Amino acid sequence: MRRGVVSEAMDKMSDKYKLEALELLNQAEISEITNMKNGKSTRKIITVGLAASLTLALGVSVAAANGVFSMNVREADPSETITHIVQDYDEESDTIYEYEETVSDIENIITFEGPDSCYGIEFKLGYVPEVNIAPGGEFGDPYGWNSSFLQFETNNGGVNITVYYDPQFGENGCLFFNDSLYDIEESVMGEYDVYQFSDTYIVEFEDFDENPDHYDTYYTHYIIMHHPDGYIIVFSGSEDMDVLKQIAENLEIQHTDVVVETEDFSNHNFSVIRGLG
Amino acid sequence: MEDEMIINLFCERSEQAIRELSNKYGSLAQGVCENILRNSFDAEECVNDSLFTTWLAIPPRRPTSLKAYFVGIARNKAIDRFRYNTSARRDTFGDVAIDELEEYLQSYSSTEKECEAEELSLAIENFLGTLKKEDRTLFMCRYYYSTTVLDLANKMNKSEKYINLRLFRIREKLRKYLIKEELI
Repeated sequence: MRRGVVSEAMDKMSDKYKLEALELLNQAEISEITNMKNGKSTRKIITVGLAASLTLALGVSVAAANGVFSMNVREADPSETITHIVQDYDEESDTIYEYEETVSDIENIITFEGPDSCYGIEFKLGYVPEVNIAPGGEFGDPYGWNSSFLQFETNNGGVNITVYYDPQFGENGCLFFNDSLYDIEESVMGEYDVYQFSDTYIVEFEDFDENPDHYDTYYTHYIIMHHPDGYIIVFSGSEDMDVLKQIAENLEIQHTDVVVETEDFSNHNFSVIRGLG
Repeated sequence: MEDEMIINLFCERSEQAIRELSNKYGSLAQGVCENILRNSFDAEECVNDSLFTTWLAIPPRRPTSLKAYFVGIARNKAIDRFRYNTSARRDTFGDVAIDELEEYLQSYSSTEKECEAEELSLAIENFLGTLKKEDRTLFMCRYYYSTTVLDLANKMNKSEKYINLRLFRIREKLRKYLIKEELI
């Protein structure tokens, strides 16, 4: 490409998008956001969809003194491996134990950038999809406040909601995915960066002779990151993307006074959990 | 005053046309030129030159959008001025924003492929049609009007890091699009 051709090409474009951009340049700057509180957060309850405007209106943001976080999504190198800690349950001793696992065949990796500390959050569903909760079958409270994890069964399977914080990932930690991803979309929702995609998980029937000996399970994932406050919420499950989106958009968030710091965590890599089980 | 009336004044060769154009879009053009030149005196000269160029061009030309037409002239004059300044090392504060995009695409371009500006223009326009309005506006503000990342962050109430990240993703999408279209 000869030098200057891009500039010339931009100049030759029709007025349509040039005028659209001039609308922004004509706008007055919103500069008062820096007048946020610098101290610890007061509690605020906001719904995700309205977070951007309400944060401005309330004039509080826990990250005002900390800077801003960002999410980066990339395809994994075929030779890349990731070591993470897996939690499992031992029925005999009725205890949860941990072991280290090194994973290959990674498809996508999400990393995060930002300061080493942020404030914790709690969340509550503003929209509860049609549920069919078996007593004791859920983790967390689908009708109350949850701090880090909520799992519940729906008529189409189940939904997991997991909260992560940017400091949790340390310098090189990540969220990673092993399955082939498709229908990938990136978008912005107020102050949230949104990354959504689907994957197909092959479930093997090792213990059965009958055919078919495996079946494909369809999963959806909807990930949001709040840029100013550094928290990430992953919605995963066997529900349609629209349902996950509706849950995300109506989620209520409240900040706690708990400071989340990198040094609180020894494990910085996390495999995204799919559906129930 | 409506744009149509200002254009009519130009057609009637009334000097009031220049005053009205300057009043209405002078500061907008000045802002765009200052983004490119970082020098208000040079920017003002570019705006004045643009008023004169518009005076010479209308008539016979009758632009559909006087705003885009006038600001576009000013922008081009500022880029010319910038390149004149920097080529003689009269001013070396950095590259104009369009170079950021050009160099990015250049590094992926094979020497065999030479696309013309018209072809690329159409492709970029089609590409922009696939983006959300916010991303389109960011792209045009940065790479057409050379708005600084800091200004964009303030106007959009986002951080500079956020704006840089979005611009990076848009450049990446454009690169993939142009490769698909076999233009680079």
